[in-house]
Amino acid sequence: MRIEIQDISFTYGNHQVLEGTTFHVSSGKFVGIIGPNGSGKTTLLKVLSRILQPTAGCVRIGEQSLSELTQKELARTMAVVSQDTNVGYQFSVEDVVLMGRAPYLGRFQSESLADYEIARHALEVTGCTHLRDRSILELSGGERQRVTIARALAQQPKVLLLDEPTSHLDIGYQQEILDLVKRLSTVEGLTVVAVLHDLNLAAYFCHELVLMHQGKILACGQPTDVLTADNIEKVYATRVLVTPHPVFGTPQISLLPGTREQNKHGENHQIHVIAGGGSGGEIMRDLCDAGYKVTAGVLSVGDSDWEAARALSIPVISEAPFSSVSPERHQENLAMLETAQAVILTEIPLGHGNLLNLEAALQAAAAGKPVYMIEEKPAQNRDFTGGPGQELLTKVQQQAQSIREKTELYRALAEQFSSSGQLNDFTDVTRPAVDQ
Amino acid sequence: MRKRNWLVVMLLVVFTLTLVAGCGQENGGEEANGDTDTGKTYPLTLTDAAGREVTLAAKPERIVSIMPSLTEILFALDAGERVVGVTTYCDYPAAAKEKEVIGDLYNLNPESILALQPDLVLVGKSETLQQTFDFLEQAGTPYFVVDPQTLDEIEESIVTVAKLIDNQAAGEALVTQLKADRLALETKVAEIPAEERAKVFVLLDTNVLYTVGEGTFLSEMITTAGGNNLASEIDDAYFQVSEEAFFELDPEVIICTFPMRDEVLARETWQDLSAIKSGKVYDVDANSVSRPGPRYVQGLELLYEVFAK
Amino acid sequence: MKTRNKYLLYTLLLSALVVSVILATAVGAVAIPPRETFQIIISRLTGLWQSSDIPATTQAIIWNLRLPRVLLGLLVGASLALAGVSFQGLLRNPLADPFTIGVSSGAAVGATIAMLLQQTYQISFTQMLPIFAFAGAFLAMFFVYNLARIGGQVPVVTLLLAGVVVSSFLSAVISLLMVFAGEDMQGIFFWLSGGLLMRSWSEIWFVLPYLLIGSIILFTYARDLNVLLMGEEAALTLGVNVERTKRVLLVTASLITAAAVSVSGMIGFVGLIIPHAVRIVTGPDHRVLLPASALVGATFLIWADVVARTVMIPKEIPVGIITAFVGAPFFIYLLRKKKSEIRL
Repeated sequence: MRIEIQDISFTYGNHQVLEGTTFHVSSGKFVGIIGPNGSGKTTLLKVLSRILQPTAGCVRIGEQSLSELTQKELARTMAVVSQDTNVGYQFSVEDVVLMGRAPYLGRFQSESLADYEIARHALEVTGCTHLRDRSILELSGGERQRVTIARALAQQPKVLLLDEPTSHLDIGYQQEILDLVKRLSTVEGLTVVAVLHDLNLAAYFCHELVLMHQGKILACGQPTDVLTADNIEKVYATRVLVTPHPVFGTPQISLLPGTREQNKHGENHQIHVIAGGGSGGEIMRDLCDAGYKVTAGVLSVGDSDWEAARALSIPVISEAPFSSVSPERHQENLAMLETAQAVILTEIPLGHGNLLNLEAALQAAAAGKPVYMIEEKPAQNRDFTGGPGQELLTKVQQQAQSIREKTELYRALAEQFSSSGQLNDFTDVTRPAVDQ
Repeated sequence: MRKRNWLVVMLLVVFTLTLVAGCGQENGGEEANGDTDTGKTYPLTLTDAAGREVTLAAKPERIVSIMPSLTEILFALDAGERVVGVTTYCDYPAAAKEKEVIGDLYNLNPESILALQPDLVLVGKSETLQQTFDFLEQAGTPYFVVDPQTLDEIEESIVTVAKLIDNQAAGEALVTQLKADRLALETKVAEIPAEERAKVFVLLDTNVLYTVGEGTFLSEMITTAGGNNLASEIDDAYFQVSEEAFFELDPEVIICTFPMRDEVLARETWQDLSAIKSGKVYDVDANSVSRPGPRYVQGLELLYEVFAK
Repeated sequence: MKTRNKYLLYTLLLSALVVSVILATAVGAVAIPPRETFQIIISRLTGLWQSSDIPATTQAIIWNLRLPRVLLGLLVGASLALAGVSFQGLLRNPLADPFTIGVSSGAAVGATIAMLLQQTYQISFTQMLPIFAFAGAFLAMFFVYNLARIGGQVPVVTLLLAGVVVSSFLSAVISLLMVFAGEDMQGIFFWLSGGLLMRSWSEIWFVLPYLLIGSIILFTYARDLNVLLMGEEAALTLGVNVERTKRVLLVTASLITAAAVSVSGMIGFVGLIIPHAVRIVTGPDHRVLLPASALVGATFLIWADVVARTVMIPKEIPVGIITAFVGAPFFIYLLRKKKSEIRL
């Protein structure tokens, strides 16, 4: 059943919670409403379920305006699963689910066998059959949430509204519930609108997303169109990395060092990271987090460390994919090293194409820069050059400080900059023009 | 006023219960002070109903009474003009209502008593008012407890009060008259055979069946006036009976101490009771039947007439 | 609850009630053989069994005193239990009872005013007392309801708060009136303690319509009451017209309470304890809980009154004291034994 939301506004006291919200949900679609706390998601859902009356605008459901339906008609059309699943007194799970049949029963009519059958089915679908005779008060939050969904299903609605249906669930049940909801929408044609907190789950399960921001819709449509890094930064004020799901291609959100100022003690000291093959991503993230000015090179385009550097907006010397480090890039790398106050050599898998990066580390050491060499695992395992790589590595080893654990590195860096801070205090380091 | 009266009465009962040897000591007081010599000079020492020896330095000229019955006695002894303070309940004789009011039995203001500068305060027995009494005593104002519980004691108390205020002649005359009237009535009553005496039940309230039993002034009044107080068989003093017990007693006469005859007669569940059927339900003036003062013979006569109907 | 069990339970409770009525009528301050008791009742009801050989006084005791009193106990007990269930469900608060939202305080003020008028104007007023009490209860309910109303809604929390505030205020009013009443306090005290003494058939006819019509309305709304326990928003989405339902239930339960309190004073604990006790057996489904509580409440108050009128023969104690003596320990037992049931 199609839902149309036309120019809905809702004011609570002096506070405008919703402002001219307009969108529609096509029949049989699973639409997720996302947005930060206080963006009006839950209010929007309550307006949709007629728990709250909008100050302006109207909601149409199918052919009818929401306000035209009687309470019972509405309950037969639309079921709501709210966050508050608390129930007074010791009703059994079956009793609670049977209440989903209330909109179909007359005042003195008892539940028929058919009603019991519907309730049984709803319990089965939500995996609650074994809880049937338990008291609702004895259940865990997750169990109660599933029972509430079962109750909603017992209403045999055409529209299902859910307010954070998975907030109390562990990841297994989260997936199970959302799988169920999606199946109901795709297979049985149920129109679903769900307020969701978890952007990845929303992107993964919903056909369409509505992104709320300060009572207005910032974006709506396909998850790939809605969940862009820009949109998310605007709404959540945090930087994220949006990548396609490795298997299905739906957008996946990964967290990045926040733009919110916090715990910065790096004070713009430049640290150059020589990485590759995924060995440096975590270190670069941590250094950025700590507020250091991180640079990197030389990295091949598409290398996971290159991706990381890009996502972190780190200046990086890039080489074409699957090519050896060219002398030009090596020179650029050396130039970048000039201004660095420390160099970190991560556990790069060594091949003939990147030996120049080790050279760069050696030159930096020769120029008197402190070089930290990560050695969490034995080096032999990552030399694929059959000798020369190991040889160079040993040379670096002699001039560099060996680091067995990352925390050791961060401590060493902190020490270096506190003792010789004056000496190396480059407050006005200009970043070289780099590939973003 | 409905419950006011029986509560006053109840309070008097409390006095009774606390009175152990009051009358004996009262008599002792009389003896200690010898005969009824008029002109006996003050200081005068008498023993009151609480067993206290009270000494009056001079003839009391400013008397405060905190009991309606005592007020009546004072007026009956022609000492009305010496009364300076009374309670809200002191409504007889009419002249008593002109006097300064110092509160009621529950709410005595000791300061307003002192403000009247009394040289004698006549009181009944009361534990709740004991603090007030102590206060008076400490302030140098003598108080004297008078607490008659029987007809005989009323007469004795009149004599005592007369002596206390130096109006013995009036006291003698009054008591003689009372005794004569009472004897006349008792003679008439004696003619009624025991089995013909009216079976009486006293009703003090219509919401709860409160009545009076053995050992109460009211019960003695009924007996003396030729009635048979049924509740005496059940218990002493003032108590509540269940409606069933009341039905089983099935009184011939119901005495109401405040106006509720019509209501009692109209009670739908009571229509089978003898007293209701015969209409022998009477409102009597509570003050004349339950006030242990000089009007008790009038009360007796009133009851006698009711029983004789 | 399974349908078969449900009817078994009703049969059991109903038989217990009938047996209680008969036994309680046979017991009293005056010893009357059960056979005579029965004979009198049958004879009065059907005229089949002549009872002219039994003394008129005995007949009067059975027919005019005990039977109306037992039946009044039945009606008041059923009323208070029904109202208790309704308030506990409606307010979603297991501590609620018929007196929570101030209905009884209103009745008490009404009754006190009636007694004061009686005293001041020396008029016979006994017949007017229930009417005054009822008016007081009704005004209190009206006041609480309007005080609690925010916009078109009556949130449970404000309702509870308004009830508490109005109750306290009315208690102060009663205290003030008691000062005016002076020594007449005794009567008010008796009324407040609650009792069934000195009542007659007329009180029965006074309460009966409220109980009958009220219980029909409550039973009609039993399922809605269940759904309300899912929370008000959930109830809305389950098709219940929440505000109307609350209004209907509130007014109905209050009127039943008002009528019961008007004829019996403040008999405490029946409306609090009986719903809890019954809920242990029937579960919280109001479709069973309401009728079962009414039956148990009726039986309970009948027996409490039997104790009240026989424990100190020939005197009586207010039945409210008996229900408190039974109710308070039972409530403490519930608290300790079934914490999850009470959910405090």
